[in-house]
Amino acid sequence: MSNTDDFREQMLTMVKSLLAATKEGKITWATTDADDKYIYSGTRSSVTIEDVWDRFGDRTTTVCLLNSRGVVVDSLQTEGSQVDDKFVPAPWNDLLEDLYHAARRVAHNVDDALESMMSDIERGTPSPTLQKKKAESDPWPNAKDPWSDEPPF
Amino acid sequence: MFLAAVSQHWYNVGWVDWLAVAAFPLTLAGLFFTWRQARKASNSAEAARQAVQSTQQQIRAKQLMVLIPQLLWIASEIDSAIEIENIPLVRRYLHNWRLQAGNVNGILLAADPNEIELATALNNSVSMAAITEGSLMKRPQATRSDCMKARDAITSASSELNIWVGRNSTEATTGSGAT
Repeated sequence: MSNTDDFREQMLTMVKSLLAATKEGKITWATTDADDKYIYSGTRSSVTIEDVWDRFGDRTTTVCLLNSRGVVVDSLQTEGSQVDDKFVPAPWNDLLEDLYHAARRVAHNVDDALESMMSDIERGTPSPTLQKKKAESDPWPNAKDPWSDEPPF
Repeated sequence: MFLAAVSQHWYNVGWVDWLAVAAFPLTLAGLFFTWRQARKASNSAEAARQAVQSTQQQIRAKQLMVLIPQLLWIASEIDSAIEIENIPLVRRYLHNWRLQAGNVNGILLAADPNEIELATALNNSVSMAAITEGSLMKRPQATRSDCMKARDAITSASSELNIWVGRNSTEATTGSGAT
C-alpha cells in the first residue's frame, strides 16, 4: 500500500467515525461564513465539510482537516474515473455525501424544525393571516370617492 | 583430625563462628539503612521533578497572561474593522488572530490539559477565522454580514479567555503553580 493510500485510509477512518458520532448526536456541526460549509472543532484540530457545484453542474463534496493554525493539512473529496467510457465513482463518495447531509442537518437544526412542524400540523396551529394595511389600499382614506379627480379637502 | 572436627557437637562453636552470627544482624541493619537512603533519594528526585513542573506551569501561565491581552486587542480590532467594513483590514486581523490564538491554545493545553472547553473555543475561532479569511478573498463585494460567524466564534473565545484570566491571575502571581 502506497503512502497516499495509507493517508486516504486514515481520512476514511476519520470520516466514518465522524458520521457515526454525528448520527449518535455525540458531536455538533456549525455553519460558517462560507456557503454550504460546515465545521466541527476539537481541541487542537477541526474538520470542515463542503459541497461545491461547478459551472457544469457537477457536485463535489470535500472533507478538510485543519490544524491548530487553521491550515488545511489533509483532505478527501468525491471523485470518479472513466472506465470504458463509463463514469465509475470512488467507493468513498457515498460516505462523504452521507456525512455532508448529516452535518448539514445538525448545523441547521433540521430535526428540531421538523419535529416542531409535525407537532404544529398535529395540533392544527393556524398561520397568521395577512391583513392589507388600510393606508396602502386606500390612498385617500377620508375621501368619499377615492378615485374621483376632486381633491379630498 | 577432620573426623574429630566433624564429630564435634553443634553447640561447640568457636569465636570465628560467633563473629559470623553477629555479622548477620549487622548485615540486616546495613540493608535497612541502604533502603532508607535510597528512598530518601527517590523522594528528593520526585520533589525536584514536581518543583520543575510547577515552575514550568508558572512560566506558561505568565506567558498566557502576556499573550491573552494581545489576543483580546486583536479581537477588538477585528470588531472595529468589521464596523467600518474595511474588508482587507478584517482579513489581516483574522490572520493575526489565527497565529496568536494558535500559540495561546498550544501553551494553554501544555499548562493545563484539562482546559478542554476553552481550547475547543479557541480552536474553533482559529478555524472559523481561516474559513472567513478564505471566503473574503473570493468575494470582492463582501460586507460585514460575511464575517459574522467568525466574529461570533472570536467573541465567544474572548469571553472564555477573560474568565480564564480572572480565575488564574491570582494563582499566577502568587506562584501556586496550579493553572
